[in-house]
Formats: sequence, structure tokens, C-alpha cells
Amino acid sequence: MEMLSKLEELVLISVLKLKTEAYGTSIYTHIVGLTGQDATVSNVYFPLERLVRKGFLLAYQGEPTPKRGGMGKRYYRITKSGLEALQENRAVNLAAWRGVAALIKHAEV
Amino acid sequence: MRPPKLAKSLLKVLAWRKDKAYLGDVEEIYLLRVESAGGDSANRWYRREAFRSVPSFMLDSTRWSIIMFKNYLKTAVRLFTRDMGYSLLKLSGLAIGLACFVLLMMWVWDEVGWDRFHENARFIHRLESNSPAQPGPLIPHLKTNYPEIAAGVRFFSSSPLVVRSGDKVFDEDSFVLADPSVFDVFTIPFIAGNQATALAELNTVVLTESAAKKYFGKENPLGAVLTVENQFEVRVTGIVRNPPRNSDLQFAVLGEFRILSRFREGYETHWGNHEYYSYVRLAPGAEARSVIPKIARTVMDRDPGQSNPLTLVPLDRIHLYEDGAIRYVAIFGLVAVFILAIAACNFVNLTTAKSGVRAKEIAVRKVAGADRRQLIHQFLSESVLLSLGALLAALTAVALVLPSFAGVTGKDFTVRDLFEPKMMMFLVGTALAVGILSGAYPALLLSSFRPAGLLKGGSPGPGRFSGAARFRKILVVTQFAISTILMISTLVIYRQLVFVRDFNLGIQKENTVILQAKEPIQKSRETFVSRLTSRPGVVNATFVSSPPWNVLNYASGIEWEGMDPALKPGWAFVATDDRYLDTLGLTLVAGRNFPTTQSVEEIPYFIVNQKAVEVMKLKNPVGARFSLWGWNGTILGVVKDFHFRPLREDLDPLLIFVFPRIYSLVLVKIRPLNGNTPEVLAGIEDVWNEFVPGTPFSYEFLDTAYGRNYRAEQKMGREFRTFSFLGIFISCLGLIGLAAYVAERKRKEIGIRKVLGASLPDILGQINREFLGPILLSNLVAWPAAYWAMKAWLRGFAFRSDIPPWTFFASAAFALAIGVLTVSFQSFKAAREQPANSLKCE
Repeated sequence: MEMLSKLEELVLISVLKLKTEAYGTSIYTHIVGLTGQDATVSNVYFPLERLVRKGFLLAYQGEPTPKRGGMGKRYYRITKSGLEALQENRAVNLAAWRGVAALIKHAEV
Repeated sequence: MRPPKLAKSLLKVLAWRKDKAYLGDVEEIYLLRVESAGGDSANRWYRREAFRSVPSFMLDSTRWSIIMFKNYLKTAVRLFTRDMGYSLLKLSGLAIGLACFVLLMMWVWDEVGWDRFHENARFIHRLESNSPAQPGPLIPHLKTNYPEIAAGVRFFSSSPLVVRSGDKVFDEDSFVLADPSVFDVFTIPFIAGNQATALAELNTVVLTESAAKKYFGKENPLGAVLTVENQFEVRVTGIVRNPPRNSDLQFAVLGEFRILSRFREGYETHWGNHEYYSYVRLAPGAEARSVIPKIARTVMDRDPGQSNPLTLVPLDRIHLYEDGAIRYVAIFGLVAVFILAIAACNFVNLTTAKSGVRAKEIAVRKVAGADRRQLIHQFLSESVLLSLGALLAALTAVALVLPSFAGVTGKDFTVRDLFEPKMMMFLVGTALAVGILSGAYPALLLSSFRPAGLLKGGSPGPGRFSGAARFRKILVVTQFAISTILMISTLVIYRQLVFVRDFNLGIQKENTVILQAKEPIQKSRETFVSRLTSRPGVVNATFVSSPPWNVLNYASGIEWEGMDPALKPGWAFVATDDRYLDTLGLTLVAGRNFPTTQSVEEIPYFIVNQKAVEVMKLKNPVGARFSLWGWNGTILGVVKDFHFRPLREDLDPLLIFVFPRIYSLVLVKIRPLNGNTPEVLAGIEDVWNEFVPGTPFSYEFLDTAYGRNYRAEQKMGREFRTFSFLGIFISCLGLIGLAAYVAERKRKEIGIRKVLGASLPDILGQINREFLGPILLSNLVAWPAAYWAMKAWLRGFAFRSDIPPWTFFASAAFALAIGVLTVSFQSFKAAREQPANSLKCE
């Protein structure tokens, strides 16, 4: 199986959630909203391209709009292997987190 | 609202290879921010976005370059091995060119770095008036009177001295005296002993490492005693490193200056004797420009014979400009660049000639989405890689031939000089530049091919191949032009060397032996000469103050009847005896020889040369009143002009008189019986041993000494010969490749011609014609350039040979013959091929 980085995982989930409206701006806004982190667009952009190369996402060209300085949108959509990877990673995450909440609660530092 | 300009262009540059959508996203988010948080906040965000993205984009681009570079490397290696012979041809041409460049540059480097290793080099100046030799009291005077002068040192280079250590005796020809402040001016690292006190005490010396080894072997030399000329003893107080090769300050034994009192009287007070090379170190902050006017009249005011003002010459200018080394530095630097240019032309030629082979690869890359920039990048990295490989091969070759190269340059370089860090950086830089420059044209050409035509197996686009062919021809013209220039120059230089060798100097320099006039010999001159001439084969002998091949003694304070007082002449002079004219075969055109060997102090008689008469404008020179240094006398005779300076210089007036006090050499004329010179020399050695027992017998022949005047020219001749042949050779390597390429392209044509009845010579002629034009054309460039350059070089000689037309024709014919031979040899195989084979395929 293919282990995803935290950022890749977040990006993949965002694309899944945003359905047909998944492109740079929306993904970036979504992730920033989710994490509250002050990320740059390139922080999102490079994982997106990496996921495209791995075959977890597919990208297609959208129409240019005046709001974007005349530049087109690049839409992303999750692929079948992307879904599988997400599934597998979720299982790992769940397994890893099982019982952690209780441990955190009673841990002595 | 618009995003900040600078940040926007930064982002554009960073993302130039990325999808445009990225920039669109940033823009959209920016506008959203403007709406939600206002312009200032959005601008701030935009700037942060741009600058914080730099690292990730850089990382990304590096990653991709590495991936692509791996691919280029693989392609390059495959290409190299696919046509091994051709690739090796390409590589070796460049490697030989680079090797020549390295060798020549090592020489140039050494010359340019002359005396620059001294820590205070930029503060050190030499005192000069009409010559660099200064009177003894000058340095102490300057030191006490001018605070700008931080330190000063005088040097005295003694004639060879006999130095004894225990039972070991040597004729030390590098015995130099200097003030203790020498270590304060120059950088002379000590191995043993104390620098501060080394030459402070009377009769002390420091030795170089090799001198210490010579005199004391493995014993500790510190505190040991050496006996000089069997007369006095000196104590060793220090061992210093051997002076570097590229320094004017050369010595084996460096003695404290007061030892001079054994050889010269009153040197501390006498302003009239200009004999000591003097250097000063200026205090930091003091400018030579402002010091010179203050000291200019120092010597003139104290010595009426000196009419030239004193000046300061910076140490780093002495070797290059004062001694004229810059001329050879420029010439050899130019030759180095020439050879490298030939090699680079080769490289370009061989790469573009094979471009047909790469056409498909380029087409596929283009179809797969490679843009032109990437292709150029690919070809440039290929050629840089190859040129670095060639540099590696060149360095290996140079390291191997370095010892034998010493014979060509006269410098004993070691591998350590080669791998000196600065030199290495320079060479790697050069290799990179050569790689980029010679890769540029092939890269531009190959990347311009149009994929559609190429993949169909056709033309790469209109005019692409023919344009490249024209360019290749221009490069062949360049290569052969440079080679021809070098060849013509070689011929002219050799002609001038022969001219100089066979030039009638007006002096009989054959069969003349030079001996040092050691003190015991000096004291009993007449007996020495009569003992010598009693030996079989010895004809005559004369004492002289300076050798006849290079009279460097100049006398000022000359006056003659009716002289224009404003003239203040300075003439070359020789102090000698009545046997001078006979021994050297000089003839008098008027007057007579010295009657006795009585000194000029007693009977002031003078003999002058014809040139001097011309300068004096005297109708009847013989018997005219003439005075030197206050001795009033007469001109006794006029000697026919002879050359007492290198032929680079014109004839000058010469003054001859009898003055035993300053004799330094004995010239002995011999007439070997039945050509048996060794027997005659053995006779001379016997007499030598009678007078100076225990002193090693050493001699030199006069014609050899004369030859030394032209050492630089001989070296240049040898180097030009070597490098013109290498230039031709590299050019021919290129021709081999091009001929192979032409033969291959014309394979079918040759087949058809043969079927139609063409003979082998016809075919060879056909291929040769391709190269004949460029080679002949190269003469058009080479002849005027070579003529102009050699004319300029010959102008450095007052007496010179001409530049006959045959040197041009011979060089051109040689280049052409070599070219035709190379091409014919290479295309022979293609021309011999059965038409059936070449025509049957497809």
C-alpha cells in the first residue's frame, strides 16, 4: 500500500469533499479553514501535482475567468486508486488512533 | 486592486514551467482577500505567499533537473559508446588542445606571478635612474631622511667565489650580499635560525636549503663555518627556503653586506660607484607618486656623473614591463588561446556533422513535449560533460609530459604547480567556458530542427543542413588559418635565429675560452698570460672588465674636444689590456693599439669604435683630447664597429681603455691542434692550478656565451614549432571526422559515379574538393595576419632577417598536403567500396 503524507491526505480528502468544485483556490481555502495554518498556495500545489503523478488524482482544464487574471482553472478529481489509497490510509489511521484518547487523558507528563 | 508588482514577477519567474492555473489560483485568492480583509492585508498576504514559496519551487526545480540530467547523462554515454571511434576523436582533439593550453598557461601563470609572493609586494619598489644599480650610501641616506621609506636593502652579486666547507670545495656562483633589512623588505621564510638577528653580526651568512645540503650534507649547518676564497671565514646563522623559481631574488648563499669591504673600498661613502641593486619598502599609506619627486635628485646632487633622476619602480612591474616579459606572456597567451580555439572548432564541427544521427532523438523529445530550452540545456550539459572529461584527460597527459616540457620552457614545473588551487579553478572555469561556447552552436542548431520532417526521415527544416555545412566550412577555415599563422611564424623565428647565429659580429668568437680572473691571477697578469701562451695551442689571452657579448658597464662623465656640454653622454665601456684587439680579432681603422698595459690612471689613452666617432662628430679623432672621470687623455685609435650587445639593439658608442683594477674575466684564444680541444683545455687547466690551486677549474666558450643572448628567442622557436605541429594535428583530427561524415553521406553518390565509370582518384578528388576550398581560403586570413605579427616581432631586433614569400607558400603547401592526405586516407575506404554494396540497400 501507499502511505500518504498528512498533507497529501488532507488534499485528497478536500478534493473528495469538494466534488466537482475542486480546484486550487477552493482546496487551499478549505485546508486553511480546516487547519487554521498559514499555508502558501504552493504548499498545496506541489502535493496536488505529486498526487496527479501517483495517479490518485486526475486534472483537467477549466475555463479562464476575469477574476483569475485570465488564467484557466485546473480542476482535480479523485481516481479509483486515489479512493483505495484513502481507504487504506483511513484504516491505518483508525487502527493507530484506537485507545489513544484514553491514554492522553491519563498520561502523566 | 492589483497585486504588488515585484511579488507578482517573482511568482511568475518561479512558476514559469508550471501550469498557468497556479498563478490563476493565487490571483483569485488575492481578490477574495481584498474583499474580505481589505487591500493592505491582501497585499501583505500576496507578498508573503511569493517569498515563502521560493524554497519549495527551488527544491522542485532541482529535483527535476536531476531527473533530466540523469536522462541526458544516459543518452550521452550511449551516444559516446555507439560510435566509439568518432567520440574518441572528438574527445582527444579537445584533450590535446586543453593540454597545450594548460602547459602554456602554466608558463604564463608563472611569469605573471613573478615576485608577487612577497607579503609586502605592493609596497616594494626598486630604485632606478638610468640603470637599477645605485651607489652604496643611497639606501642609508634615504632611510634616515625620509619617513615614507619603511625599510631599504642593497644587494651585491659577487662574481663566483671559492667556498670551502671542511674538505669540500665549491665554486659558488650564487653568492649575494644584502643588508640585514632584506628580511624586512622581502619574504624569505626561515627553516632554522632567527630572522631578526640572522645577518646582524659581522661575517655571517644564511644558506638556502639546497646550499646547506651541498656544503654540510646531513650535519647541522647552524653555527658552522665556511672559508671564502681561502681568505676569510663566515658563520652560518640561518637556513631559508630555496627562493621560488619565479623571483628575481636568487641566491644560494646570502651574506651580510659588510662582507663587501673585502671587495670594495669606501662603498659606504662613495656616491660615484653605481653598483648595488637597491629596493625600498614604502610605509603603509605612503604613495610612490609623492615620494619620487622628493628623492629624485638625491644621487644627481652628490654625483656629477649622474644626470638621470631617481625613480621608484614597483616590484610587480619589474619583471613584466621593465624586463619585457610581458611580450612573451602576451605571445604565449595568444598561442594558448589559438590552440584552444582550434580544438573548440573541431568539437563544434564533429558535433554538428553527426547531427543527422540525433535528428530522430530530438524529434521524439520534441513530440514528447520537450521545449527548445530543455533541448539546449541537454546539449549544453553534454558538451560541458565532454569538455570536463577532456580536461581530466589533458591534466593526466600534462602531468606525464611535464618533466620533458622543462626542456621547452626552461622552467622545471612539478605536478604540484599544476594542481595549485587557483590554477585548477582557472582551468576548470576554462573547460566549462569551452564546453558552453562550443556546445552553443550545436545546441541552437539541433534544437531548431522540426520534428515533423525529421520523423518522416526527411529534412529537419529549410536550410538547416546547408547552413550547418557552411558554418563547418568557416570553422575549418579558422582552424587552418591559425595553424598556418603558427607555421609561418615558426619559419620566420627560425630564420631569424639562424640569421643571428651566422651574423658577422665583427668579432672572432670561435675558439675562445672564458675564465674567471681570480685574485691570484689578477695579481700576476703578465706571468699568467705568458704561462698560458707557452702551452701548445694557446694563442693569446686578454683581461677584460666585462664580457664582449653583453657589455653592461656604462660610463658617464665623458668629455671630448668640442663636445656640446648639454650632451652628458653615457657610453658602454670595456677596461682591458693591449691584447684585447688581437685576441678577439678586432681591426683598427685608424690610429694604433695601446703601447703598454699601463693603467688609464697613469697614461690616459682611449680607443673608441666607429660609432663613437660618428657621435663625437670629430674629423680627426686620433689624437683628439678625451677625458673620463677626470682623467684627461687622448684618443689613440679607432676600432672597427663590432657587436657587443644582443642584436636586438643597435650599435652604440664603445670606449676601451686599460684599467686593471676592475678586470673580472680572462679571454683565451686557442688554436686546437688537429681539432684536439680537450688537450688544449687540459693545458689551460694546468696553468690555472698553478695560480689558484684548490679552486675548481671552470670555463665557458665565447660562442656559447653569445648564444645565451638569444635564449628567449630559442625557447619561443621551440614552442612555436611544437604548437604549430599540434595545431595542424588537431585540425587534421577534425578533418578525419568531417571526411568520414562526407564519405558516408556521399556513399550512394560514390556508388553511382563508380558505376558510371569514375576511377578511384576521381572519387578521392571529389571528396577532397569539399575541403580544398576552405583550406585554401584560410591562407587569405593567415598570410596578412602572420606577416603583420612577424613584422612586429622582428621590429624588436635592430638587425633582422627578412620575411621571404617562400615561408608563406611553404606553410600553405604543407597545410594543404597534410589536409589532402588526411582526407584521402579517410575516404579511401569509401572510394574502394563495391558499388553493388553501397547501392543495394533499400
